[in-house]
Amino acid sequence: MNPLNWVIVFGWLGYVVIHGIRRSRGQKGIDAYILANRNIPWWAVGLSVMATQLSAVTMIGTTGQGATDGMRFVQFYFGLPLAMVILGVTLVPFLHRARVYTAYEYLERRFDAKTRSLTAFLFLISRAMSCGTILAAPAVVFSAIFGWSVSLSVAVIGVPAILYTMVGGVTAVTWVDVKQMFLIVAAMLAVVITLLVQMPVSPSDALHIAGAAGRLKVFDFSFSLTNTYTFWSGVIGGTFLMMSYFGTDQSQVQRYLTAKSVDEARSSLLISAYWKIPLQALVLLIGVLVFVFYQFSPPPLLFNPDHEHRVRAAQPAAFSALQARFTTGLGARTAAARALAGAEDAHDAPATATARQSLAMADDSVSAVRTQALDLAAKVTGQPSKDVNYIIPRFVIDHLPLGLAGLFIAAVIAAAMNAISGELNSLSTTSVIDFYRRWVRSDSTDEHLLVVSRVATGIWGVFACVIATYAVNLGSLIEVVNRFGSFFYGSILGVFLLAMMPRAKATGAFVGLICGMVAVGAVNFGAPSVSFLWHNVIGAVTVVAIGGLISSMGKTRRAA
Amino acid sequence: MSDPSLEAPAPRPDTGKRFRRTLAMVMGVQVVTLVLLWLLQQRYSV
Repeated sequence: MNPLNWVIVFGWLGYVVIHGIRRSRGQKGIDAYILANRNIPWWAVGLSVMATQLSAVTMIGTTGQGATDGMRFVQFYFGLPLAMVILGVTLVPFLHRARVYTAYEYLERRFDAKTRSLTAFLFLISRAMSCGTILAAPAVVFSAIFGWSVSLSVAVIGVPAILYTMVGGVTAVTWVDVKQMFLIVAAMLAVVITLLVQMPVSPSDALHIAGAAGRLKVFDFSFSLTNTYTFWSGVIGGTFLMMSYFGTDQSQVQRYLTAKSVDEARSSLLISAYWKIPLQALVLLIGVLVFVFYQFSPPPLLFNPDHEHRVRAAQPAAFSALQARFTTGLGARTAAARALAGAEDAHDAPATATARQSLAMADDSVSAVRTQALDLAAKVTGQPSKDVNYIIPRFVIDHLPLGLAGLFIAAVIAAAMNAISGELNSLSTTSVIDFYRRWVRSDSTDEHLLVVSRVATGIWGVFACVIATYAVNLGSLIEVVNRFGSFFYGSILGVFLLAMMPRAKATGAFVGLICGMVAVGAVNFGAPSVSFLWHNVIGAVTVVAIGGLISSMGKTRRAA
Repeated sequence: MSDPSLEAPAPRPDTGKRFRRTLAMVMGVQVVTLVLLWLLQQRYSV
């Protein structure tokens, strides 16, 4: 890569580490480290939460999904604004007013210690795993671009984030997030502009081509428990997932606990929902435009360069045959795309209809060859061959002009750091407050807890790096992250919903939580075709139903 | 539940203004986005 790109990448890395540490200078005590003395402006909290969601997984995985699958993934986020409104009037006031460090601490006050410890433990498991997968996403970019080992790539990205999070706590995390948010948006806009400039057709024709290939289908109103990306899965399942994530996940709760008041806390939460759907649509649209770009510039048969080299070496004849068919298919697809653009410009309706049909058929033919190549790669390498996460990195390396490649890579690293720094901070907080201070040393001084928190951040950082090294081959990173969470999320949400019901009792909450997880486990293994989005609904409803029932039975017995 | 920290905060006349204002704007942006996405699908996918 050109030295200018390196200067941009490492210049930015150095800048954010210094900025994060400087913003947290003079920090004394655990309250400042965990909650920034509840003194961060609401807009900064909101931007920080929003930045956390724009992770590297979004920049690589979601754009890749846009290129292969189109815009329908955006339906996944349809429940988010609704979830924010519900949380703003329910859980946020409860948690902020309780003056707690962690969401789980509240559960002990409301129920008992075992409910607190179990929910905190589940959070630690799921977040630590997902933290690793989020870190793995940019490691894929690095290993693909520079031929570095995955572990070295993970260290290059993880160490700066661990460093400023360890030293600066939530203050550093929040203010670095705010800075990096601007870089990420600028990098995405730069890619869009590059695409529009380099494409040989007008933006309108580009959208016609994308539409003909089925990439602009956004809404699917069918009701299906097995299809993740439908309107109803997004609105119902998505609302529960987002409520669980933003209402009970310490990595998010800790952010709005730093706000000055209840009003500012829930406003910050809404701010984070502000641009979520538009931004996700933009991210997917980038993927769609990359798809259109590759109508006129031949893409590689396999986007994963490592797999491409290995298949070439192991099965040269089979690869050459596939490559020849692929090249022929691409030629037909390019011709059909040009015909469609020409027919649209000439407003020739019959020719447009014919060209749309030809393009759809040519695209199906190209996809079929790619599927065969991916199967061959899976056979040769023994690894999952879904290369959706390599599409954008390959585009960036091959086609982005000088400087912009560095900007994009810096933005991918920034996005990864945003996501993992907040999570490391919350993992440390939960370990220290819900376990160390609760069960090991309840008489710890403020200074001692601060030291333990920094050490815990470092340990969780190393753990995330280890997970990241092994997570790169788990398939589409987006789904992996969401799957980890959804196994527990719904049940934990159910416990918090119970906590707001005055009649709910500790035994009901604990038994309900166990039943919720068993129900999700039964559905996950008994009916694996049910989409993971519905796991949250099943978990939450089971906990509330069983927990409520047991709580009311206890009351009836006492009354009798 | 005698602990006041476990109860819902009492509404105050001067609080919640920012929340309501932000809520209205957020919902407005979401509705406009959904309409634009619908138009995008209708215009280019059919």
